[in-house]
Amino acid sequence: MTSLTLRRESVAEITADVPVRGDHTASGDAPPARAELADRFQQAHARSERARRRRRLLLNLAGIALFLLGWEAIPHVFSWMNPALFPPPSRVLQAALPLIESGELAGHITASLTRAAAGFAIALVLGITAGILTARIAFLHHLSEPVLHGFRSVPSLAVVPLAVLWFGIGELPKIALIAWGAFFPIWITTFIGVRDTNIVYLRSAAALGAGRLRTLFLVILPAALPFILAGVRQAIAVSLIVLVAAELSGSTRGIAYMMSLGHQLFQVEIMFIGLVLLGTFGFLADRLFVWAARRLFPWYQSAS
Amino acid sequence: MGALIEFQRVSQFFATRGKAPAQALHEVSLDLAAGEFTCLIGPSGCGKTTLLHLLAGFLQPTDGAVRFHGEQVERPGPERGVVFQEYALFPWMTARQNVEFGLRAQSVAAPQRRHRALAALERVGLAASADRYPHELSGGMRQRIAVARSLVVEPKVLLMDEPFAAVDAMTRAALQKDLLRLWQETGVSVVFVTHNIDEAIFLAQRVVVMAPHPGTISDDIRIGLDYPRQRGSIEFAQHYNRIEVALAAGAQRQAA
Repeated sequence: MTSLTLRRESVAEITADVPVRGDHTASGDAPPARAELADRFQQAHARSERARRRRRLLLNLAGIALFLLGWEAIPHVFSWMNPALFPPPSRVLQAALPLIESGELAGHITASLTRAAAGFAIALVLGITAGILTARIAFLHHLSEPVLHGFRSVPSLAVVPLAVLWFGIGELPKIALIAWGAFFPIWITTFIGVRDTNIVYLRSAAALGAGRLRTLFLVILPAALPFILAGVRQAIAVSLIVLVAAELSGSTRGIAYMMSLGHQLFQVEIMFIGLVLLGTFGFLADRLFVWAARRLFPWYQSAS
Repeated sequence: MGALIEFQRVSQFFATRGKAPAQALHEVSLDLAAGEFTCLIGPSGCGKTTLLHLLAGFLQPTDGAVRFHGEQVERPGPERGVVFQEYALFPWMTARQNVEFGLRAQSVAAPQRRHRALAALERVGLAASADRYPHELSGGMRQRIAVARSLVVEPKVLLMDEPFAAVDAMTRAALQKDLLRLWQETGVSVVFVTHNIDEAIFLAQRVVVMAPHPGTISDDIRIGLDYPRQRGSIEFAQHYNRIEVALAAGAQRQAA
């Protein structure tokens, strides 16, 4: 609705200047008038786009503020609620400030993000490689099919205790667990995308004389990209889930560790800090993903 | 010195879900000369696309031989360009990058690649759209770019599989004229599959009429008219009738 009214405004702005063009045609130089009109349109368009974006950002921020306000109000409205069990944002912030000052919070965040990023990166490389190999080489596909699909059906959380038993509570088992969990969505979507590459694309490439490697990098991978991206997005979410499970199962640093500490000390505020952080990470990671996909693959958005 | 393209008693079977395989072609023999513009026409199921795919190297004949320059066709290659019905342009590449693809496959250096691609786009009148993505272009423009992409690697023959079937009638007429001009300019041979009689007579020097189930050649007609051809002329109508009769005879054989 709002964008519609905005459009109309900008159109009105342009038509208001039409007499200028009339003057030009009268003096016999129409082309500059047309260029000017196009220029004006472009400017009006850019202005309305900027306004739209600003409005969206403002609404986003307003949404967050509204949420925080509501949350803050809850203990005041429902007097039977125990603020120690359901602390309002002001109390959470109070608990967070010393942690921020001491650098403890930053330490937990770094530890968690490093783990998640390392595990995810390993999953990305292995998942895409495995997806391509199993989709292009029937021998490998049939050989790996039962085992890979079997493992895929095991929820990665079920492997956590085993990983602790095998590798102890160091960094390795956590990264391995995250990689394990994030691997499967990437592998399966890469496999489907590569396998289902439109035969017309493959035939075009072959008829134009492209070899195996060029076909893979210039045709098959870009064609499979929409599928791969869907898997990557899912893998980002899985990484955070497994991260929490792995950290809860035994560690000395990290956001989930901090939360379990808050649980033991009965400091619910600290647990809430963890929740807010995890939510923020998930949101930022997803935004980053969308931004990167748009930047890297300009054709993808509108072609599909 | 034989013909450029030779089909020698080619038969083609396809596996089906049932027990009996489907026969797409039955002992088809056909010779095509270099520089010739040939249309393959017939109803669906007559094997005209199969014939084209055999020549492109996408398929291997069940029996018989397909030769190009006297050599058996074993795989696709840049000397046999293909233009598909659907827009087979790569949506992740701009028009210029699409046209450059075949040159990239031949490891042509980037500046030269760019230069040749722009020249090819110029030829189809789309140099101004070089940096646009296929989804930003109309159907007719996409098909022009597909032709430019095939021609840039200088193939000996252009294989076209109902290339203008998906565009509107006015665009189609413009594309036909463009194709004739490119054919006359480059001297490339063209094998053009269509189910449109008018299109076949407007374009081809030779119209090969096919009949279905299994695919065979039912008539081979030489169109001696000068270019550009007049759709309203009496000769045009006579050719139209002859092809229509040949097609009807094929359909009758199928019914019998």
